[in-house]
Amino acid sequence: MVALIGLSGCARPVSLGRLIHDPAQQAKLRLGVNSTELSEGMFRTLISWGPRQMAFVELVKKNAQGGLSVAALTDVGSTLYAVQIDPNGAIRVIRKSLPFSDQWLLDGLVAELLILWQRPPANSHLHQLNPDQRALVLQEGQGTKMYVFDRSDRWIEYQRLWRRRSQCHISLEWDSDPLPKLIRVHNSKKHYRVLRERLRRSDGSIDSGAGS
Amino acid sequence: MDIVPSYPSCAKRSVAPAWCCLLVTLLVVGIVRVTQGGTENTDTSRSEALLSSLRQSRASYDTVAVYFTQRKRLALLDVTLESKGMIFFQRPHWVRYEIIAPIQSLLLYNGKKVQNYVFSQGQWKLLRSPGAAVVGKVFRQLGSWMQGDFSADQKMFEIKVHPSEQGEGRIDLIPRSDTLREFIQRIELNVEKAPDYRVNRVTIRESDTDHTVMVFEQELNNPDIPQDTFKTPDSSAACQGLFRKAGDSTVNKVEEPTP
Repeated sequence: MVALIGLSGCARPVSLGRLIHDPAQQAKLRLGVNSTELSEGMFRTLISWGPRQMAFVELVKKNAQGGLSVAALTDVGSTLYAVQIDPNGAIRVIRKSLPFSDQWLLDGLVAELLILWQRPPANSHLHQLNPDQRALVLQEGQGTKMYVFDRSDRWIEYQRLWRRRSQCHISLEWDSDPLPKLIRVHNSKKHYRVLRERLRRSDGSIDSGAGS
Repeated sequence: MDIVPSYPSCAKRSVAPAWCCLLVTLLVVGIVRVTQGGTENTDTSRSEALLSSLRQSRASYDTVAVYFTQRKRLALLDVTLESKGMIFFQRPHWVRYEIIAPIQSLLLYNGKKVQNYVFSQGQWKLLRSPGAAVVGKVFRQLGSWMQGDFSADQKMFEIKVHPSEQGEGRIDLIPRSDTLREFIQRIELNVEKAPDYRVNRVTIRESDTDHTVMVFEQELNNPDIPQDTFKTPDSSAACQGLFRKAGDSTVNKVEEPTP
């Protein structure tokens, strides 16, 4: 019964609300995703699948040419993965000690981390989801990407849909820093959840949530 | 097409080797035995002497506590990440391995099973880590070694000894498995002589450019360890206090290795 209720919940289509024609507001929200300007980020990551969990540290660094490097390290220092993204968008997996495909890694963990460094597409449309939330929505065939903003235009959520059903839901919790304090990922397609705690603020100071 | 990973095997292949290597590195010091086929050196007697001296000098210690700094060099990001931690070991098989900054995580072993904790959102959380069973197996093996039982399997590493003229030296552990060698080229244990033989630095070389160096900055032999050191994360502060209480006389000056 629980499984049926869960399945029915997952299957519920996500409402895209009402389309709004307001190019100025669309541009303002899009440019408000300001983490794209940050040179680096560091997170304590906890991934859960079924009853199992694993913790590691993820780093993102922007290079002088505008490309990005991403890596995950275990607490004892071994590299779980290292990925290079060139300015032209070409992606290379440099190192990987995880037994799943490069595509799985890039489409999942890496893509979900790098949404912070990628602005919503310019051709996305502005939607009013409810009185408190608006979204930039990009529909490509059966797939949809949604960037949800609160009443104060703060980006609080990202969703990837397929046929209007959520495949991946990411919520962002902010404080005064340009990087979110907490990122929660629920990837219902790949059946995992991720909690990312910011380890280092953009001024270089250390956060206390995951450490001393 | 997306591939749903087999997570338990993921843990066996990625997490466990890292732990295995590190824990072997940390715990096997002084109790490894050179086999004829596994040793490559120009002076076998000096190599044997180094291992023997190391083994004998550690034999009188039932409990060891080490405070370390770990520096991870990652060439791709052009960064060196530093963390601090401590290791407690008590014969026959109790282990506490804790990272204390900038993140906090803890691994406890009681001779039967491994418990893996992380400090997240302001509190300790016990993880159901899929690699725990494998790590526990390694610990059991190490416990046997610590008690002088060398019949346990030592096929994981080829051991190369590089003794110096002064009686000190370096012991290299080279993974025999091709799979493990994909992730770790070599583990180097730096052995110093004074005041007695001990490992003061461990270098784990992942590739020609990436490596992790653990420097054992402070070592306490047969200390009175805090209650529940091997049982709970709550004794973290007391464990850290042990090193402060011991004072500067126990602090080691260890030179950084050449990359």
